[in-house]
Amino acid sequence: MLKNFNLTKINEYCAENDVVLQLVVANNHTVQARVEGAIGSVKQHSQMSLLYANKPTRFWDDATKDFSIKEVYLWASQDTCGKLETLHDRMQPAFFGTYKTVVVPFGSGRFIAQLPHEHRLVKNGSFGDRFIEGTYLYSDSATPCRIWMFMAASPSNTRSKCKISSPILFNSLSKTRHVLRATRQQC
Amino acid sequence: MQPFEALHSSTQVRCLRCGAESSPPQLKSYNKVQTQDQVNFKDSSTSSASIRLANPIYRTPRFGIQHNPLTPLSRSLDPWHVLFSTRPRTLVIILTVLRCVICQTLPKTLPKTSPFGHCAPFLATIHTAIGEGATTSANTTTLFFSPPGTDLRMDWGGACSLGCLLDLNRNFLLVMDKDTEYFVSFPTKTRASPGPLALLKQFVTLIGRKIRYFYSLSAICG
Repeated sequence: MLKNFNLTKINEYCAENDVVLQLVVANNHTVQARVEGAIGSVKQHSQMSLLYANKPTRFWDDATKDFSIKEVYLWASQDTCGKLETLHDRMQPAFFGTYKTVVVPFGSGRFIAQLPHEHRLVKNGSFGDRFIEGTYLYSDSATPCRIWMFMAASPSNTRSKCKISSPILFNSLSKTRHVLRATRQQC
Repeated sequence: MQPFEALHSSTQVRCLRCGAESSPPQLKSYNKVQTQDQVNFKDSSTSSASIRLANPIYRTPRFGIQHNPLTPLSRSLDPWHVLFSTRPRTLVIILTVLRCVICQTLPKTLPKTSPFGHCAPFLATIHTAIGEGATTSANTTTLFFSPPGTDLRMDWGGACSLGCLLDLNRNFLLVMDKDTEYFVSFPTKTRASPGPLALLKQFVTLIGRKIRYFYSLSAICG
């Protein structure tokens, strides 16, 4: 049995920022219907991402982040006026990703990351650029044109610049009906 | 344009009443009263319309407006007098019809920051015409609705359906805005570190808005 939230800190935060805190009974899916539905959707699509990418389950957190970003940034729905809008367009958060960094399917390989000269994988002292191959995980929301990728040579996640030699190979998601093609112009 | 409090204006309108509403029509003395204008009008004209106007039997409310014999008929038919001298129910119906007409004619590109976003210029005109514009400012207006991005929902999601995970990434916190349904998931190894408060602050920093309402679970859950 674990406590869901530390109510003392949250109460202090809400009192300082004039936030009306409404407490809900646990396991009450009627009140929390939107959140519970979103959690279920994230779980299902994370499983499918792992299955299609042939990734082990330890990449579950990356798949969760990737699907959240993709649904918010790419999936559009109609508003009251019948206009297609994404959740990103409605909220306009401080998101630094672009269409090119988001539209890539989870687990896509053949991504080339540039290593700095101070990286531990750079053995000799030559001044040439070093590159390493990895797989796409998710778009970095805090840095422009950056993605998180998994490098098999040094089993870790690293953030690198998104370099796609042939973007048409990663164009599978653009065939979806709800994807806004106009967002390509923002790139 | 800042949204204003529409309920307050209706309260102000309800305070504006003319003599037609204050005088009860059920009283016999009310029906027996005839003004000097009507007497003169009855004497000077013999048409059927003048007889109907002068006859107290036909003093029935028409279009929800009750004619006060103490006020001239031409003034009671003035549209502004009709607008501000009718009963509150009639005034609400008139404003609703006008609001629908304006909503159909105004372009859809106006900002929808409020429920009356499409009709904000029109309602502001009415608001000023009533006279509250001088007494109510944007700083003192109280909002009875939550603007988009200020009503949050938060809940934990477990990865139990994925099976046993070696690196203990079993939980993720999902924070969602109710109006726009914008959500962000924060995978964590445990529910204690980092705490939900730190992730909530990260979400608020990401959306860049000051939240007003916040729903979260309160009890204990496994």
